[in-house]
Amino acid sequence: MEYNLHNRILGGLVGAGAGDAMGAATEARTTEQIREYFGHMVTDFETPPMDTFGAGNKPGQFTDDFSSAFFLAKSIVDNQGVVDQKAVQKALIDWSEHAVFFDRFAGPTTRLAIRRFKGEEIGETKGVQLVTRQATNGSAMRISPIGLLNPGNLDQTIADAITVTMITHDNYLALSGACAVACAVSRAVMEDADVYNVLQAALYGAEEGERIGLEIARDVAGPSVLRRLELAIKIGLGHGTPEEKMREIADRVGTGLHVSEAIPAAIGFFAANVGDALGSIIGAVNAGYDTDTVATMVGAIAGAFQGASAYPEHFLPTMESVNGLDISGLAAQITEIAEKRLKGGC
Amino acid sequence: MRKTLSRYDRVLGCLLGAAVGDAMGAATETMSTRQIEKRFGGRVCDFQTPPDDVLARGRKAGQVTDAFSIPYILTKHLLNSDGKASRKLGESALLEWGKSEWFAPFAGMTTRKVINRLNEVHAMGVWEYAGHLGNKLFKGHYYALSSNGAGVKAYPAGLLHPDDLPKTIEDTIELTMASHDDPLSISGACAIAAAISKGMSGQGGVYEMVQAARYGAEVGEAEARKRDDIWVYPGPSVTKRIDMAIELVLRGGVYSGRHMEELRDLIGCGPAIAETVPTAIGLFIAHQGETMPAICDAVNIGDETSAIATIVGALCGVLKGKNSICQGYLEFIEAVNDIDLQGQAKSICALLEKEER
Repeated sequence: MEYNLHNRILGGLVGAGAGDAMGAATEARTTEQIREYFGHMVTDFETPPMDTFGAGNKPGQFTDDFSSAFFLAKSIVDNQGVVDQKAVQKALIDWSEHAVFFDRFAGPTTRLAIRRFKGEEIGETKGVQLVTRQATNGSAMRISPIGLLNPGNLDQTIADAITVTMITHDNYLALSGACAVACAVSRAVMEDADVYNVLQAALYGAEEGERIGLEIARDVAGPSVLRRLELAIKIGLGHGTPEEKMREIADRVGTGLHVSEAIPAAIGFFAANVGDALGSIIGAVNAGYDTDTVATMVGAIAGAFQGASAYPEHFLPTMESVNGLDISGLAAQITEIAEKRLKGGC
Repeated sequence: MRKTLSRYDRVLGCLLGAAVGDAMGAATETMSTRQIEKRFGGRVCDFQTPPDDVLARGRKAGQVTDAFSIPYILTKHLLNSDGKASRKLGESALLEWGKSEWFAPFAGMTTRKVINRLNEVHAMGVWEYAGHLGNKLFKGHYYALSSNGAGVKAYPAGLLHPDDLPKTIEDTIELTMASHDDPLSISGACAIAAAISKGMSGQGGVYEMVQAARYGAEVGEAEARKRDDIWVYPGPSVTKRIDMAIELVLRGGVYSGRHMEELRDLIGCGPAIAETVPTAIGLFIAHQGETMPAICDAVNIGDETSAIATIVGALCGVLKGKNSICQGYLEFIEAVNDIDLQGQAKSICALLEKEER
């Protein structure tokens, strides 16, 4: 098929949105519990069960993951593609005013940051502040538009991803994770993308994010995003069926909230499914634990890799109508900026 | 020929190793390796006053935290019931601990919730409790529905059943259910208890203990999954992570500082049971069971240093005995914490002898 940047960028958005919505139904369960509840692997939008965070969501409805990515992208596009502190804060405040996403879903680290830059004085807690417990995946889940806006330009992608991440998750592990995802997306959207160079971009992002993070952000204890990423890629490219690899990734790398589980796992699912747009999401959605976040990230990468036409036709219209968000319009705006940048303008 | 240690020597080695590891780790808990080096001007390999930004702030050098105090009180309860373990006994031990000086500063997320729940006059219904766990615990904390509290209090069941893995696993499951009622926590707890049980036998060394740990992790998880009263959460596999830790520390042959860093970076040293337990076992192997060097690495590995060093201290101590721990530490730890390790070790040995008769 002929290369079409718009199709790739729209694919990145559709994949991320579909991962979030599909994962909302399986979050916090194990692989066995997912199969038991639904009677099969989840491969499409489902109604989230009543005992999970997405309870009350309709099939195709987003949680915090893609909704915050959407608002971030929108704000940056309105700012002519320039990523600065003001644009990021504006995005998060806009997002926080959408109760349907924010009130129900916003994670602990992000919530605190938004209160702070809305001008609220946050008193020092009596307890010991544990930055270590803030090395979560909250920034990486919304970072994919940064890659879409900077096709093939890994260093600009890293610079922008760092600006975004420092505002809510100013520790080096969160930076490493966010840069890994953003770089993978940036590479995946290119015409000459293949499984290897997307994985190499992810590794480059993780390493650079870690290096820069140790200079400018807070140090925290925690496993290395890079080491776990190497493990996830080894499993993903190794022997076995995608389903066997899915279990190995869940058992060895982990698919939880920590940045060193969720990000390597997401990229591992991309490798395990050879970049297949829907298959990568299905892996993340059925692996269990923080499925919506992991699936949002791998959906962005695999969707940008294979384009929107790789997804079932009902995905985009369902998500647009259930969530009332103009995803196609956003894709067009991102494409305009990305195209200019690809041609060397601006 | 290997010098045979007395049973008392092993039991006291285990208790003292655990206490020393906990007390040393108290000063470095939640910091990264880099932060520890910066704060203390190098590696921490003795008792330090905990700085102001760790959970043990305000406490003295040598004081233990939750990691050792919970199993210490649990052991007391087990001795009072002639070694008969039950979930009920596990709960009453926790309730007594909840009244101790250690509860307020140290109770971890899982244990704190369980004690609060046990204390509540109008106990929450099971669904309310599940929702509570689901919302507050899952999203409020970044990982570890299956946390390391289960692993640090696992050694007593192993001490009380030398070389009897089935009984050790059975009792460990009951005791763990009191606070950590999920297959992964139980898997990690049974790994440690089984290793200690094997270590008590005096037969074999590090390899045999680690094989027992591996067996305990597998059987404990399988047994837990058969229960009706179990809560199943997602999370990495303790058994597979133990295999990863073994593979990792065997790479490169003899020990180098790299092994500690690699365990930290790949397996992790956070509160998840699938990080704490495999990493502790990795350090135990890397140091061939040598108590003080292994504890020292555990104290400097970062994050959950108290828990990791407690487990490492217990594993090494039961294998190498009390004389593998620096002279003077026993008296110091007993005095600073007002605890009677020698008395507890004697009571354990007396109970074992009584059972053998």
